[in-house]
Amino acid sequence: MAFATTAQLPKNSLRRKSNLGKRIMRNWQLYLFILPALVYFIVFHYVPMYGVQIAFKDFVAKKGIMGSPWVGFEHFATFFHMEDVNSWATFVEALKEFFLSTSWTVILNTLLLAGYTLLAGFPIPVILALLLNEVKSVPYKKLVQNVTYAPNFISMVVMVGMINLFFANTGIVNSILGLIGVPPTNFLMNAGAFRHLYVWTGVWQSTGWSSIIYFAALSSVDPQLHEAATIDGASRLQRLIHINIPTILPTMAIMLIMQVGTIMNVGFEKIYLMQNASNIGVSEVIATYVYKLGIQQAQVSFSAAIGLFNNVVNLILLLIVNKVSKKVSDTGLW
Amino acid sequence: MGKKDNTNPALAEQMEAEKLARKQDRERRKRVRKEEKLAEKRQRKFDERVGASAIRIKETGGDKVFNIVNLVLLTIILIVTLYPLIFVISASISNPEIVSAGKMYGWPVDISWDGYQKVFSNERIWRSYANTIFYTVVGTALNLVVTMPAAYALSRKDFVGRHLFTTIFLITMFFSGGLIPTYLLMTQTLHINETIWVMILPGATTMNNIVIARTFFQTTIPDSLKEAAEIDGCSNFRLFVSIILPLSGAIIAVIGLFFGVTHWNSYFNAMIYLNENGPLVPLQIVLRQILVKSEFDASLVITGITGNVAGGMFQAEQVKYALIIVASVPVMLVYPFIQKYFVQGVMVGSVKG
Amino acid sequence: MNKKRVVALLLALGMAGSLLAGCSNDTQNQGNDGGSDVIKNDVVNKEGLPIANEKITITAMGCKDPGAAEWNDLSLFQKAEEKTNIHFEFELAETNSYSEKKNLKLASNQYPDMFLRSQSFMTQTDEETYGSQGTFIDLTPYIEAYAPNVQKRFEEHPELKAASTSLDGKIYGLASYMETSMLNPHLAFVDQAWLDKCGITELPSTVDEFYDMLVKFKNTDCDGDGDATNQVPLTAMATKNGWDHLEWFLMPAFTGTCTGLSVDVKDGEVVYAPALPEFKEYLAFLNKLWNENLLDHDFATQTQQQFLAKGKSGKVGVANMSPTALDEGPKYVSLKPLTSEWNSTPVVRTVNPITTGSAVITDNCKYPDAAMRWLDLWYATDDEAVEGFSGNAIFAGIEGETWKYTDDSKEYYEFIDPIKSFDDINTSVSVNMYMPAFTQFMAGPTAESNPRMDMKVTGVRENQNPYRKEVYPQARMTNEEATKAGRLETDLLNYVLEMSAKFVSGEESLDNFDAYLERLNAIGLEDYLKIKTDAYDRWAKAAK
Repeated sequence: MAFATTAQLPKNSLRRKSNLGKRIMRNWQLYLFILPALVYFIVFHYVPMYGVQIAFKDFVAKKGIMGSPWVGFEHFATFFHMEDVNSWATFVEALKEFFLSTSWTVILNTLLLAGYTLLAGFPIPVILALLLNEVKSVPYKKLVQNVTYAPNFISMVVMVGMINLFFANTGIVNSILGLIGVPPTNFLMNAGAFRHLYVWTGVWQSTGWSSIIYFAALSSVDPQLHEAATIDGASRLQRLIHINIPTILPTMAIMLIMQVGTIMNVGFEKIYLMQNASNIGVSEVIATYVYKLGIQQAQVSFSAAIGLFNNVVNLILLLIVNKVSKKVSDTGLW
Repeated sequence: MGKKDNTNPALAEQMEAEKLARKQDRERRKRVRKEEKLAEKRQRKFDERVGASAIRIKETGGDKVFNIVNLVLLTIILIVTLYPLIFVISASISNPEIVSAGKMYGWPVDISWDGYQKVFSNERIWRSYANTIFYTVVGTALNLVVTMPAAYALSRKDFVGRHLFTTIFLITMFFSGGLIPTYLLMTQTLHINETIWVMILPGATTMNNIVIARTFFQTTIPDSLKEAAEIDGCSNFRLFVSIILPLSGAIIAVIGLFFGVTHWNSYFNAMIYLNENGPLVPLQIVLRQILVKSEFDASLVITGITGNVAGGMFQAEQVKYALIIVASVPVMLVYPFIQKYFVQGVMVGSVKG
Repeated sequence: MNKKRVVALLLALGMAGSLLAGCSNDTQNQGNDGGSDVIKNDVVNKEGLPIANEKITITAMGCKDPGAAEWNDLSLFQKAEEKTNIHFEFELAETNSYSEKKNLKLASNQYPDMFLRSQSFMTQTDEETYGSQGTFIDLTPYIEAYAPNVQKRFEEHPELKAASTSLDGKIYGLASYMETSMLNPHLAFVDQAWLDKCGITELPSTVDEFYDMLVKFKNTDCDGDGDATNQVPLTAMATKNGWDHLEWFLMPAFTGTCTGLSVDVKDGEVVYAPALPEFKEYLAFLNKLWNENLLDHDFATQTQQQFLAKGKSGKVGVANMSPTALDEGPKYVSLKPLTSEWNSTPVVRTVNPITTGSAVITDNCKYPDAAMRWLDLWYATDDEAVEGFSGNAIFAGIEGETWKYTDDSKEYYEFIDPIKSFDDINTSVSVNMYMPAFTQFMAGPTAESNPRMDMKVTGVRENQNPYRKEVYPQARMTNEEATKAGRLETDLLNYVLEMSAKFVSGEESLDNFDAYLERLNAIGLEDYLKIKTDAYDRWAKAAK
């Protein structure tokens, strides 16, 4: 059957009647390819998606999601301290209040922490993959890959436990610093150190894992290019810059877009576990804040609203980065 | 390149055409294999030149500096990464009291296997291990079956509607109905709670991995390959199965690994939809139970409600480290097998042939 | 173009989803809005055992301790089933997943007949929410008709009734009451040998004497390792709510409040302790200890394990560490509450023995009468026990079967073979704690059987119990109040935590305390206190 159709195709295409129907028909099998994924997304994501309205309702369990009363943007207004806005003057007043409020602090903290995480966490795996790709000794290469990949499997509870042990006043980091004459620093009680601790321990944990995708992309570099370049007298560094990086550039662009699209989803568990009285001012992010409100009062609607806000920010950022990427590197999601 | 297709397209000769197409396909596959082998040979030759002879002839002073700097950098990375790992292993077999006091620096102190004993004394652990392996293998297989074709379809520029499908899929990353409607779906509509399906179906694919695989197809499978296949009269299905997939070892390995590890670590659906004391629970649930139990026991010891002081309120700490080893060693062992797919240059050779 | 398409698609699919959902999610209104009609089943006897004439089944979701036995395997529940003819179909979840499962069941309208032992996971907000929706039935008429023991306990302990009663005057959740000598909290312990070495014969009673003691600890080789400089005079452990240990022990000496960084009642008025002027003096004192290295610099960040390991190392002077968690050998003495020039009354907090929402009955339950009679069994005192069923039986099993008093003074108890400890109770006899029950188990273990527990019980009995002070009660708020107060509380506490850490470590000068107070007001301290005061006034009226 399949062959009957395809066998006729060349004739059709020769006529160059590329109207829509024909273009669809020619690749009808591709629709079968995408069907399972489509069914999955519809059943498991679109069918429950009516739940989005919870954010705009005052959810009452007995009445169900559909039967609960609408409240419009009330939950958003509460989060932004805009409940009482009815004129320009009250808006300005509310805006002032908002920028002094915890809501603004947690938004700012989330953005700063997420931005820092991206800034450090995005390029380092790329660099690791590029450097490792230049190593000639295969066993050494595999050893480094295996070792850097392993920390990914350390659970957050233990990870934070280790941070607490290593960076305590009497911990190993201070001991080592002491050897070179640096007086002990209280890393854990220092609010300024929190972001660095969070980000760099994260880099330690995820670099190897994140670089896997670049190892795979580097495997598609055309060896003939290297051959030719070597003959032309290009140095290793030159070849890395002019052959390897361009090859993995589309992958990098896509990874960057996807990471920006989830940027606001900073690691809740790790932050929550690392929080203490001293760093709460910089460590309270949207996720932890909502969690604290959520466990005290099961505010289904309010947390749904904040979750929605969070994701809309993500989506906007993704669209922006996608656009930029399209312009700069011609790689994008669409 | 491929021979011109001289099949008569008349319907009456369908069977004939099919046979011929099959034959051609066989031949082409043989050709691809041969080309692969050739490519490998070329690769080896290239490696020799670049690796050995090139050093002698071509390597400049700058290259040497680059190599040394590179090696030093990687060795530092290796040590920095390795030390905490050794710490975890040592902590899992050291006296937990000494570890908590910060007196264990990397070499095990006062060796005790109590942590592992506590983990393996749970009679449900083996059953849950088997469950997790099952969920991971079956789940990952399903993931690949769903993800790879979809990603390939989306990578094709001549696929009408790919923007639409991309959008439909992408929206799911940002908008979700939340837990309550999902819970109703699983328990009231699909009735897959308390079954193995709840561990496999709800994560059948992710947009993230579809996009990664799609990008790989776009950047590494040249359009010429598709065109050649089309001229050969090769259906999309055949093109995908016999040409694209064999060239995509690296991405299959990576995507499989991403999905596999997700399955291995997943616990939330099990926690919500399975009876946590039932026979279907995965390893992660049992491990969490062991951990919570040992922490709870420790708290009882601290308040003095139970007399079992010698049992040690620090054991929970040791159990945490032991759990990491027990839970992650199998996943780590898989990685070396996957590494071999990251061999450079296999695919491009076959295309050029 | 693309964006438009996204929006259009979203709307289209969203609507399709809604339609689909409309079919599957038709809510059936049960009609009676939590009406107070009492359901009377013919099979259920009004008094005496069995409760039901033929076997009836009740489904219940319960929270069990990690690794604990299935409740139907416990001998106490087996005996209860046999005597009452009520079979329970338990769906048990462990502490780490109970909250999610319970919330999902309630939020999606798929819930069992009862929820038992929800501990802190059944909040007052849950009671108010699901009570007013009719999911939880009003227990008041059932208590009147079927629960003589509960009625008696309510009369003896009006605060128990006040805590159980919702703002609309109905009772949706039955609170549990548990008081035992062993779980009374302690403030701080110190090794007697350290006191002897430093020549301290009398325990400090003021903060200045306490300070002098710490200085001596610092400069004396108390741990006997030959080094007179490596002692840790005072350490503590941090929790998400602050540094509870210091806030229970040292803060009351200054502020006279004993709920830590929270609201309390002082001179009949509801106050927010971290906004009191005396709080500044407390911070100044901690800052002094910090600067002179009397207070462990890890105190605000170390984990419980690090804290305990430090305690066991024998290098710590004062810490709020129960002797039961330490090694056998040294004699630990309990410190007394302190006074200062700002507060002359030594006070110790009284821990609330009440956990609200311990049992709720839903509108799915066909036998609420039987369920209430079953619950009532556990609100009996030892004397009222029928077949041995009582609140203390929940805690330690049936008297005379698993444990007994050593003599008529009832000061000490011992287990009866083959039961050796509470471990055995937990695994084979009963759920032990937090069940809907009235437990008052004031006997302690004998000194021979558990010397360190005796140290703790005696220390608390002598040095803390005389100074107990009532604290801010579990006063109920409306859901609106609770939402607002919850948000304000989180915001206030975050700021207080951040600033007190800075004040203590000297990163922020205490000269800026006024700015700190201003900021608290800006966050909404007044609104918060108003809500808390209103709730307290209502509670005071209800508890009369």
